[in-house]
Amino acid sequence: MLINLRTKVISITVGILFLAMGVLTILSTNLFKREYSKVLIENGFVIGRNLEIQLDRLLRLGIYIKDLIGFDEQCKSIVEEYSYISYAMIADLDGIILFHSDPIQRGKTITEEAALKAIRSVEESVYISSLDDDKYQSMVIPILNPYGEHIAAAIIGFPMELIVEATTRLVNYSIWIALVSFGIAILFLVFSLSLWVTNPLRKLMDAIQEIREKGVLTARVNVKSRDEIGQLASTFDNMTEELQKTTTSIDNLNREVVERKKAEEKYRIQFEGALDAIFVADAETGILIDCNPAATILVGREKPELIGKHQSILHPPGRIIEGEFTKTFKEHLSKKKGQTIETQIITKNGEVREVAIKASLLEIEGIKVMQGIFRDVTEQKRAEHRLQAAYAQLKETQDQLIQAEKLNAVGQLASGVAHEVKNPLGIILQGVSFLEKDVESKKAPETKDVLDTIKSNVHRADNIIRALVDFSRAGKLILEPQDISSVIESSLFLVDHKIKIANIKIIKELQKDLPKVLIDKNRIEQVLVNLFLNAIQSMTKEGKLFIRAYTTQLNMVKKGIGRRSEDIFRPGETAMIIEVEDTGIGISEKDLNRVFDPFFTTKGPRHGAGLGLAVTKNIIGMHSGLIEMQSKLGKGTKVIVILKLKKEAA
Amino acid sequence: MKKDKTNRTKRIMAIDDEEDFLKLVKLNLELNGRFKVFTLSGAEDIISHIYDFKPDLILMDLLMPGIKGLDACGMLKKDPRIKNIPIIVLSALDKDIDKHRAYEVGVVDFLSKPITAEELIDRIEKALAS
Repeated sequence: MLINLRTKVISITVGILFLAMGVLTILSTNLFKREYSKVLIENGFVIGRNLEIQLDRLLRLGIYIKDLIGFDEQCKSIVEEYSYISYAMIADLDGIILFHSDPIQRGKTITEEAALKAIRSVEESVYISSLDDDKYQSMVIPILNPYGEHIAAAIIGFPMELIVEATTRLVNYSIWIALVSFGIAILFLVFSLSLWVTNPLRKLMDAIQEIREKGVLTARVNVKSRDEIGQLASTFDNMTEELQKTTTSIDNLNREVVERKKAEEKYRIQFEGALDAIFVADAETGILIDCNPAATILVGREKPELIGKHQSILHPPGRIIEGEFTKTFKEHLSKKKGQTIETQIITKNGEVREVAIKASLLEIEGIKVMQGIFRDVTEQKRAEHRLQAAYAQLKETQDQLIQAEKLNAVGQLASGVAHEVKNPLGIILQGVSFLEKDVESKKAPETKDVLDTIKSNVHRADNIIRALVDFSRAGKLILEPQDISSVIESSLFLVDHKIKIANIKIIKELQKDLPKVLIDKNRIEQVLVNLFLNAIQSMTKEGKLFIRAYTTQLNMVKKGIGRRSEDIFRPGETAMIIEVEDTGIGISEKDLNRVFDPFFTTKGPRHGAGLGLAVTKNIIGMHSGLIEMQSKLGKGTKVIVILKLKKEAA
Repeated sequence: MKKDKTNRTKRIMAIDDEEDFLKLVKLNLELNGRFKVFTLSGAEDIISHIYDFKPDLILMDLLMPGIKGLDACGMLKKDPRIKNIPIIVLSALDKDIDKHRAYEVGVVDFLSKPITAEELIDRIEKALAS
């Protein structure tokens, strides 16, 4: 392109030069031709006049022209002297050649009209004659005799070719000079073009190229010249600098835009993908303007059902009102930070769920909006409740455990001191025995009564010690597969006399083919005796004692059977049930909760230490069984014992 | 000793570290009129005393300072001239394991303190009758 430009400039220049040269050549050739012929003609005239003067001098001597001899020599000498002169002659008005530089021509007659006309003219004139295909320029000078009569004419001629040759020579010469000059001029042109135009232009081009292709806006042309190109370059540099500045600011702007887009995209991704429900509402009106998929899941509504609605649609009626929303908004404005509210939301199908809302104020496109991040804490709350319940249970268990530990300690202590207490009791009883014998002879009924009292209280003390030791016995059970029916029979046998005294009817409902159950026979006997005795004592007259034993599949462990029931029995497990039911006085609901507590008794101090059921429960617990008591005042009491049916026992 | 089912006075040897208990047991049994009681406050030299006293039945406490009742029983059961004398344990202990051990050694009965004189005499007579 650059080369093209130079080529163009040079071509145009060369073209113009050649055109000028051509015109100039033509013009100068004609001019030269004319001027040169004028000079030659003038010279011819001068030479002719000389010849005329020489002739005139002779004529003035009074020699008749036709008498002159040897004037041919004069003519000849002129031709010899002036090389370019072809001929010199004198002709009379008839055209007869009187004298000629070539003597052969003397006497010949000129017939050419133009020549004759010129010869006969009294004025000096010229004409062009053709001779042997050559053209000659002839100058004619009239010759007058001393009388002033026109008698002849001196004719000087030179070939026209002379002018053409000279002109040609000149033209050739001019062309050569012109060509050389052109060459030099073109070289100079090329050089100056390069120096002042193409190089700066190339620099400019390079700079443009660099900017265009590489985007390097630091590129500068640095042309110092003061011409238009210099100005162009500096303007370009300024422009580039401006462009650079603009580009930098555009770049910054673009970067900002890209970053903002990225941030927006990031927000959008977070918004759409958030596990928490996010609602965006107009801060002024409370109208919902956006929500994420988690939000639609939370409230069970599609997005179109929510957008455009007031945010109160999210909450159970009366829970969060517009005022509270505004309050949050105001607080947010003053504190400049989000605050978490725990509240409830309502789903489309009316389910109320617990949520924690973190609200924050944002500005989106000039609109103040409240963004609420809703976290469903229903399960968390439930878990908390469960945890609290579990904790309460744990606490209760712990209390029980502490109590059990205490009792265990008491039991241990009791066990340790039992021997020490039993010995003095033994002594007292022996003493009483002796005194009874002694009193018998003396017939003192009051003393006898006192001794009876002492004796019964020794037994009472002994029973307490015994029960305490029993209670503390957490030792190993001697477990053997036992037929529960026979255990019931043997236990009944132990209380047989008391049953007879109280006139109680025993009704046994024992399932046939009961499987054997893995128990410590003595301990279970202890349990059953205890239960029978309690039943007997509760019935003042002619009561009925139901004794049932059967196996059953536990559907659901009955409420109240035991707190750890789930741990002990699984639903669907088959267990052995023993029921002891009486028609006695029953136990009040208040007391029913405490019957298994150690030292709790309703019978008064004479009848026991209040450890019977505590020991019973302990023994059943050691068998991984459960014991439950149901009772109604005045109707009777039912004790249910559930024992595990182990595989080994089956 | 040969078994004697006649109504002659039976000789009872009671070993216990509780002097008061021994005193009252002796009083109660002898008051009955059919028993002669010899008491020992420990099981030391028990064999020589048995040789001397020749008891028809021995009442043995278990927890005593020095030789324990069960060890003493074991010793007696090794002596061919003594081993047939019935021994009744009369102790403040009443755990099953104590009873089990006692029966293993060869005692005929196990009585827990406190006990009335009537029951004691009843059990002694049952032991002597068997």
